[in-house]
Amino acid sequence: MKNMIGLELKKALSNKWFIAALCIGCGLSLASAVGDIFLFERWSAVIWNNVDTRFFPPASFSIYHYWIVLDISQPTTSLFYLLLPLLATIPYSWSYLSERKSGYALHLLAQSGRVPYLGSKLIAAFASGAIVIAAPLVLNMAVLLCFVPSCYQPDIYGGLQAVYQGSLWSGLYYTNPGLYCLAFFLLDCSFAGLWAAAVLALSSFVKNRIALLIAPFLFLILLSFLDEHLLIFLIPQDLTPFGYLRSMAIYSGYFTSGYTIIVEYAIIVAFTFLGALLALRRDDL
Amino acid sequence: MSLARIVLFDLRYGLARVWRIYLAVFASMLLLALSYYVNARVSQMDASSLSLGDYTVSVFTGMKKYIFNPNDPFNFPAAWMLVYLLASYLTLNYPYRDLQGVGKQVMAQAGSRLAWWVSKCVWVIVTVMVFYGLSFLALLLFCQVSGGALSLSVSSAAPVLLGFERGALKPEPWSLMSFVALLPLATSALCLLQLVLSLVLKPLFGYVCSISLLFFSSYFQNPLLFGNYLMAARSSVFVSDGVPYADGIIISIIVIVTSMVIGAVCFGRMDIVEKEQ
Repeated sequence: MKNMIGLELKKALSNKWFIAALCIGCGLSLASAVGDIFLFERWSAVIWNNVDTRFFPPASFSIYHYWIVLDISQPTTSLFYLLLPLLATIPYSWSYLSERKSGYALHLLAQSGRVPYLGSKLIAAFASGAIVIAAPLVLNMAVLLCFVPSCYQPDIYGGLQAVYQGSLWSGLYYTNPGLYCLAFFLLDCSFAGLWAAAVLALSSFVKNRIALLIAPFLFLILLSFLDEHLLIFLIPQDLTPFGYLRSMAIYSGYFTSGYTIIVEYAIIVAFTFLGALLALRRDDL
Repeated sequence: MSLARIVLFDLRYGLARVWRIYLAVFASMLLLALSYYVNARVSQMDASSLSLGDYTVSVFTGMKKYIFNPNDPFNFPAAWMLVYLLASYLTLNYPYRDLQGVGKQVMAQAGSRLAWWVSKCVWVIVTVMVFYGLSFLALLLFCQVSGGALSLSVSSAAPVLLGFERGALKPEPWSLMSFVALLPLATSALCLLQLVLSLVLKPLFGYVCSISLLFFSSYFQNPLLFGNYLMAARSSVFVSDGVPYADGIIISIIVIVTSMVIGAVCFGRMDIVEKEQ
């Protein structure tokens, strides 16, 4: 099993799809960072010339205002989060379908068995999805830290920060912003990994690679539409990852509850196991 | 094999292959119409008075011009994106799969790569037309079932309910046909651009480019981002500071012609034998 995992990880993290998705994510994250740096430089001139710092506390313009998870000013930030579910699946979620079609899966199954093969595929898909999202988040933070201070003073007057009282983990933001950033980093990476694994498990039902990668993304867009226009009357919360992976309520105007995220994660994990179980029982590999 | 036969083959075979996506389009249009109906009821409007024109505008609304405000972060128009992402998805896979499969034999028989390319461009345009035909059929069906009027007039309450910029609204009546006539043209431009990118970059990255174009069109109101012409809330038919639909026609035609020419040149030089599965 260990050898299988090593092999799958090597395949997942060295293929050109992984590189391409990583380049797109890092490109968007870098563009956001550059835009925010220019914004920071412009605001710096205003801040230091402004005598009354009650309304423009200088420390509000720190890394905890501009990091990509908290950023609301750059279009590339919004595009990054829109593409996040798709970018997570591009590196390796198609691999099981592709190997089944080419017959390579039979070769590996004969050597290792179904459970190690599928298990290692899911682990590799999770890892590749998580890394493809983790790298841009880290890159954005690293570039911003070269220009923007990490000093901290909460903007209690509002209007400059996007984290309101009802936002997810807002208490953590105003007491320990570093831990807040770590929490969101783990949230985003874990969602990306789980989503990539779930889409790989979906290969048990879908025979077309393009449909496998795009249909789940379209499902999320549909969910976003339903959340905004219909479900909001029943469940007044942000239900889609386009919203809850960021630090504030954006898409529905309602804050996300941690319980909603836990329930959605449980659904994704359950679906992944169901797909894996069906794949294990298939006779027509 | 003549060009006409290749086109007929693609129309017959290619349209049949995407029947599931057409079903999804039909269902999505019904869902979008239902959403508008529910919102009208919640706003205490007489929902049975909504016309086919109202439903049409609701489906293709998009969003009003976005001006950055820290208290109002950008929220992409999910309903509008869903419509055009489905349209893009319809035209995404078939040309590339045909190239990997029977397309090579077709080119060999026809003795021309250009014939294959032109046929695919025609297929894309016809697919877009069928997309709109099916969409209007769905809206017509919903309108009939909900007791609405089968007219193309847009009520005065519709743009307000749909979030148009009130201060910029033009006086009634609004010429819905001028807006609707531009939609297939602009969508064909989007899909043909995606076709060229799909051949060069692979279909998935072509689709990522389409998503990005639609996203930036919703973020920036710019006449060069031709996704703007697909939004009723930004059309000069409805709002005074909207994108002029005459410009939309010109830009869409330019994009269509440019995509076809560049695609023909790129495809003519492409190695098609070793396209990976």
